[in-house]
Amino acid sequence: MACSYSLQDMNILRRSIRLLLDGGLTRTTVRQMIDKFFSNDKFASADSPVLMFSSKSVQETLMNSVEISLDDGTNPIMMFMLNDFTRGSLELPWGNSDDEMLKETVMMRGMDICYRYPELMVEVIEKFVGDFENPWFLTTIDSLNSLVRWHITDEEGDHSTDWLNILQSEIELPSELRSNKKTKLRQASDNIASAIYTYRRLTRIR
Amino acid sequence: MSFTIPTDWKSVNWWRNRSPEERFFHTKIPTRWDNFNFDTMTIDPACSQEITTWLKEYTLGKNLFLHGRTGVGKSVIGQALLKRLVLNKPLSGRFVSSDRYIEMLKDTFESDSGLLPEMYSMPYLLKYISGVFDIVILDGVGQERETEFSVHEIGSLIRRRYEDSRSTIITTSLAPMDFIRRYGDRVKVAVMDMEKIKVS
Repeated sequence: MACSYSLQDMNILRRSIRLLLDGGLTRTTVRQMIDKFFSNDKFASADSPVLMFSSKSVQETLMNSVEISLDDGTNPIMMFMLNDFTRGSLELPWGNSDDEMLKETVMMRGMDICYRYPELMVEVIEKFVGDFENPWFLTTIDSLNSLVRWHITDEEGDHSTDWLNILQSEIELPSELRSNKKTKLRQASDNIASAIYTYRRLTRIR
Repeated sequence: MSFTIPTDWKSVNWWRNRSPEERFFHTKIPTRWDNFNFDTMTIDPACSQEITTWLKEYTLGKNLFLHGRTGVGKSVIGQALLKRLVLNKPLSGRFVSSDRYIEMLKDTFESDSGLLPEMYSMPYLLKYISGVFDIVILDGVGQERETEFSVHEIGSLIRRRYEDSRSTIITTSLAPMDFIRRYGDRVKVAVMDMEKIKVS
């Protein structure tokens, strides 16, 4: 199928791809997303494939159907989570023996944070490196998770203890999480790769 | 080779006491994989080693979570494991894809008994899958359409089999963490406890 694109289309496409790369996706991942896009009849035959490809929801669908790899600029702790808590060649500031414990802790207690604010989980881990046995490590994760849950569910109740715990651990919260009223939080991603991508994309744009 | 498909209720022991050939027949592994077994498969050596170890150390109730991107051979490995186990041990098993499982559940909606309707040769199949067969391969989990119903039912099946100490082999393109994210707290402990192998 032969297509011709206007100069405006080309500019939009260039910007979309730039944003994907700035968000940390590797060129291979972007290429796979483009291939996936054109293998889908509905996408490929759209009136404007460029606009279709540039849509955030379409990009999310494409990201869910390829194996996402992120570039070297990604925080190693995020990479560790992305690689299913396997360190491989990653240089991490704790010993191998803590890997399994971290995996269990994050998966059992911190899922609500990770899929919305992966950077907060990274911050907590960084803060407690060398001191994972400190009970405040788990308390901070529990409090963060519970704060996120408070915002996203109808749950009432007092979350001031969670607040105090987080404050004491000196974790810097995004403004929406600091709100005393239930606030719209960052959209939860379907997979951890997409959560990391969203975070990176947002911080690049700011 | 063909065997009679039971239409009345059969116990755990009845299934286990079939001949190896009959147990294999009832697994309903798709025939397209007839010629795929461990000796003919090409898998990454590290992954192959992990699978061999899992098989060697297999005991009833042990679970396996095979993950990796589409097309790397997770289902082929899963069926080969099931084949090997039912042919060599007195164990019953079944291969079912997650979308097929959901489809079967929906087909029970119109029956008062909760059993599968007449178009199915085995009315108790869903009950066997959830609480009788020793090993079930739940194939392609995550590829079924994501609805509240499907997420709940797949999660419940995994949890129930885990709590009853029956083996489940899951094949999925979702990484363990993303899997838990999708199927929720219900599957958390079960998935954490499973042996996980990334197929590449």
